[in-house]
Amino acid sequence: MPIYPPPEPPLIIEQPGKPSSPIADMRDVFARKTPQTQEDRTQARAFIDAKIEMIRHDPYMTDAEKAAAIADLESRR
Amino acid sequence: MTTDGMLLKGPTPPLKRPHTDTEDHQARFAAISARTPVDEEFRKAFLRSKLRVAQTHPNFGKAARDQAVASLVDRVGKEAAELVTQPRPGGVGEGFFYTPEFKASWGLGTSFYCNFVCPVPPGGSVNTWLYLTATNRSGLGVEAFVSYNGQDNPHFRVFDWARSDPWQTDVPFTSLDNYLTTISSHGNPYPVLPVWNGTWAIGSGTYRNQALLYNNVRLGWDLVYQYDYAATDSQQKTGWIGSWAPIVETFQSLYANTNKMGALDTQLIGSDDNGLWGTWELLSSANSYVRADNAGFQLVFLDPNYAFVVDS
Repeated sequence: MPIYPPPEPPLIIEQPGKPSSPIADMRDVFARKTPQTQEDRTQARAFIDAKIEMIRHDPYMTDAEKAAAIADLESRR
Repeated sequence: MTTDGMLLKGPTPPLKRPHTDTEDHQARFAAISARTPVDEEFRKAFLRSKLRVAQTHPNFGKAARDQAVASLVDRVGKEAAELVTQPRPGGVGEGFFYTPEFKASWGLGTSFYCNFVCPVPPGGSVNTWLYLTATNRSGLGVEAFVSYNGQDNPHFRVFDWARSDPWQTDVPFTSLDNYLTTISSHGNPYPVLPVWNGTWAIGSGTYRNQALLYNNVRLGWDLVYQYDYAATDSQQKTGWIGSWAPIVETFQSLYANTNKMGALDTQLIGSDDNGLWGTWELLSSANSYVRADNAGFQLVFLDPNYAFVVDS
């Protein structure tokens, strides 16, 4: 079932009071202009590997929970 | 048993064990030890662990930690000092994780917002990656986060867990003048980047990920990233991914003298199973817990559990 986007978060920004403007679509400005590279893939693996280490060091998860979470992440490498 | 040349006798054996005479097996054990391969990794790990204990002792002040490390280095040499600078990814300097119940307690959509306290530069001993990141509870959402690499200019990056090409937006702070601002908390000004991201169903089995930055010039949110994809409710709500609220994700064993960093005003909103959004609410201690690996960071303050600032 499709739903509408969430309402804007209530900002606490120290600026003069002024109604918030509508959301502006700036994707073209921010979008990456190049395809994924081998370096991107290497960095993605490192990014996920760091999460795996985070799981290994987690003081609250059980061994079974860690094994399941690590298996999930390894499937995404 | 007596020791040659010494008058002092050794202690008697511990009680509750049958015992006659003490036999000398030093030579046999020495021979066995000599045949056992040296495990250098174990030795390094042992040393590294001792250094970490000294460097991150929660009850020691900075001076006492430095003194403890100095004494260890003095005892075991330069190798010890080199070990502490080696990368150690996957730590949590400080931050919050959602409880399992809260992580899954949304219907068709979930959305997250916070102000990342992001000094430029990070200062101190940061010499590799360091992330200020968070998820919105969904298993296939985005991490829209601040990425440090040493003292270089930080970047705002988006890692999309729904994609096979996950690295998307990558913008240096030098291009974020309209988005970086300053807010006060606990009486002090902090440099912040307001970040909002969300994940919600836009059709049957189809979800949308979005990341937005607040434009402080025009006073409105700018959509900087969006991706639509197929997924199931189960994929979004099970598993470990999506469990971390704002955290300082560390890549070194020790941090020292870093500038103040963290997250302020963390809020979340969820929709019910009919697509009706609730209201934005501060992350609470009932819905999350604190994790802080001993990496040298110290709390400047923590507001349970929607804000924290640390330094080292």
